[in-house]
Amino acid sequence: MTRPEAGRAAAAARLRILIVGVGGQGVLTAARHLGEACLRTGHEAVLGQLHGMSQRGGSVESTVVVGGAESSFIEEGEADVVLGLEPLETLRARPRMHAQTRVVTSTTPVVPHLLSQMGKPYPPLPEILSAIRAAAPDLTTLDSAAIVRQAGARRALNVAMLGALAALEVLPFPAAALWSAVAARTPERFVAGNRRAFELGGAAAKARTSPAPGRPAC
Amino acid sequence: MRDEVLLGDEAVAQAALDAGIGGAFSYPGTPATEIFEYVEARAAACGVSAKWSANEKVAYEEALGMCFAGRRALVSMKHVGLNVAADPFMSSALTGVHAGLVLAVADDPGMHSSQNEQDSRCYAEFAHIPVLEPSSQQECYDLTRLAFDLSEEMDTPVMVRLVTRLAHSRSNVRVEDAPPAPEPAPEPRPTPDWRDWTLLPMNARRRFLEVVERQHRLLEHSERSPFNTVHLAGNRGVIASGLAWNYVSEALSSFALESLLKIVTYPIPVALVRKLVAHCDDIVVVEEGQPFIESRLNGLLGLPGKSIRGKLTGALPRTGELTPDLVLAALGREAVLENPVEQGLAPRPPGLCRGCPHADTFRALAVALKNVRKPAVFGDIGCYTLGALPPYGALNTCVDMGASIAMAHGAVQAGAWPVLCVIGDSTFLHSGMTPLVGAARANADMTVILVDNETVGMTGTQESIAGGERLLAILRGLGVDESHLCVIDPLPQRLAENAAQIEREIQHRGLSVIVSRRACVQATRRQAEQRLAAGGACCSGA
Ligand SMILES: Cc1ncc(C[n+]2csc(CCOP(=O)(O)OP(=O)(O)O)c2C)c(N)n1
Ligand code: SF4
Repeated sequence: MTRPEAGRAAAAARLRILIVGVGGQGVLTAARHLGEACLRTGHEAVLGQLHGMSQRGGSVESTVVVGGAESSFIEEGEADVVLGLEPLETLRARPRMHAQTRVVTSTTPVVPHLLSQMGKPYPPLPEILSAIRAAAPDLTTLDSAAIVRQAGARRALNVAMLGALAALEVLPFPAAALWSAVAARTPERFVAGNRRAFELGGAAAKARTSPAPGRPAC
Repeated sequence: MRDEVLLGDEAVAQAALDAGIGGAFSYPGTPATEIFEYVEARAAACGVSAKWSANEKVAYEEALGMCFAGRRALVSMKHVGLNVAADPFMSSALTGVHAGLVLAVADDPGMHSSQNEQDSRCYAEFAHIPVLEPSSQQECYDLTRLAFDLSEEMDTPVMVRLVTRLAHSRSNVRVEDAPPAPEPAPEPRPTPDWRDWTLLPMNARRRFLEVVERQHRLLEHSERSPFNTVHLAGNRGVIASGLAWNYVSEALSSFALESLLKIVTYPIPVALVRKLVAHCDDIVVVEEGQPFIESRLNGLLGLPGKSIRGKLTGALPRTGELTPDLVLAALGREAVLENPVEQGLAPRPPGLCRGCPHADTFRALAVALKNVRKPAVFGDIGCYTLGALPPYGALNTCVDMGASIAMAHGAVQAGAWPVLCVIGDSTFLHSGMTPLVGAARANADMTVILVDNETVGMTGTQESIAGGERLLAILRGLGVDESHLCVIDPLPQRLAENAAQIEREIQHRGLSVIVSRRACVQATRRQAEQRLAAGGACCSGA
């Protein structure tokens, strides 16, 4: 859904990025990387990084609102970009998408404790993806497990996803600016692995988006 | 001046450093933890002290002692921490401060990670102390700076009130240039007059009178403060405070229609309220937490001829957190949207980490209790509270920190059997020791399972002030009988023997304490990472 113009002031000038995933995947860190990139490129940003009890494997989200917002809230139908580090969590964010939302999601499931305890299966991936597509057709999927394996950087899933996001050219700064922010905030010994993950993520996203069948012209 | 991207919490901490504090004091608690941690990370470089305290009362008293000795102090805690610190807090209004004392409290409307959503402004009013309530990260910085000056000018502790979404969101903050390199601590000021600080009735009566008289000056200060702003336009007025101010200013695309009052300082600046109310007939009050301003504006009987709307009238929900959409709706800008929840998806509640020692303790407990029809198992607050959820379903209660032992002792006195409780190392040191003294003295027929993972897991693996052998020594010192004090190692391969041990202690008709000791896997990982990082830093000579 789209919101009436009378809604939150100057909404048009803003880019609202919602990052979702599971505790431990690096959702907060991804948001901070984006925040750092905004700072370095002179874009005002507000970051929401509530964590509550979510470190314990629960659903986590962070928000990055670029462009002079007063609050970091992203509500129903307001997300311009959704970066999903886990497919079920991306689907959970669906009410906050609108028809033009650009969605990038990992396709590597993290099975919720509750499902495994009850012996129930994880919902079929194709169903998850088509449900997301029904709300936001501009969907880029990423086999993040394969990418971090190839990069040899087990914990760089969030950075791989940022690489993919940067490749979509929706951010107000180039991929290189995002990478230097990531590099600046990453401990020395992880930089090389993260770099490979960032680049592989970017390449995978480009490969998927370039034909872009049915993508709405914008 | 320089710009930094800071959490609300961090902006408070940076301001305190720039205000020249001698130390920061705290006990962990979401969403306030990062205030102290920010100072702690810079303590050596800035020459300030920063040691976690055993609980919030201790933290508050340590801070008060620092100001007695003539140095500025910052004490921070989550809202429920102030319940624990309430005793020194209330009386510190009477002692006065000698050097600036600022209490930063982070409230948790919506209960993201708390057991209630109490509003700390009520406490401040109760104690007769001023509150500054920031609406942005920048104000977190500016108001904390101001709070120290105000504290000294008015001889009172000052509260800075944050809420979760401000504490945990990040934006640009303009801060003073890096403070000069640490100088040797200034000479402590001369000791203040003992009569002001020794609250014997004869002194306390005089001091309380002074506190009451100070209220006029505080009100005047509040009414003059440039942080409060009033803007008169249309017949409808909006009063907003704190984070709610942001939602209001986002909702009103232009400020031409409504009259507006932003309240930042408390006591409530009555003159400004009067101005707005004289101008408007329809008033909406938007505030995070309790209807604090709204109920005071209404009084008992309301204002004749005025409509005052807010949380008390249902214009805004009475409980939970505000959102921009709720505020939009209250201002009549847009209908409330249905709750944005995707239906039918498998939920992902928080759970114990894989390999968590608590899980093995709960499994052993389940085996030990399998033939008991109605055990009473009192829980406490920490990661292990998740043992109340499936698949464990092991706990019957979780009320406040330290409650498990005292409630268990109460249940014993009601004749319940068997009675057990589960409490973490940090929670035990916070407020479990005192009830245990009484239970040990009475040799109460109950079994305490002290889960010692040597860290404060729940709030992000801060160091616990005593674990391992130290903890055992403390238990002995509190009067726990050595023959019913035992240690188990919660590992899957020890399930049967641990369960048998718990069963034996349940059968013992007196007090038993079982320490279930294994390190938290997150803490272990974090320590390993820190060692690695420290190793790297050494090589580069930093
Ligand atoms: C009065 C108060 N202060 C702080 C908190 C925040 N808090 C919740 S649990 C906890 C401590 C948990 O540590 P521990 O008992 O060692 O258990 P663990 O999480 O390590 O299992 C804290 C500080 C609180 N809920 N109440
Ligand atoms: S943080 Fe530590 S104590 Fe808490 S659930 Fe994880 S392993 Fe257990």
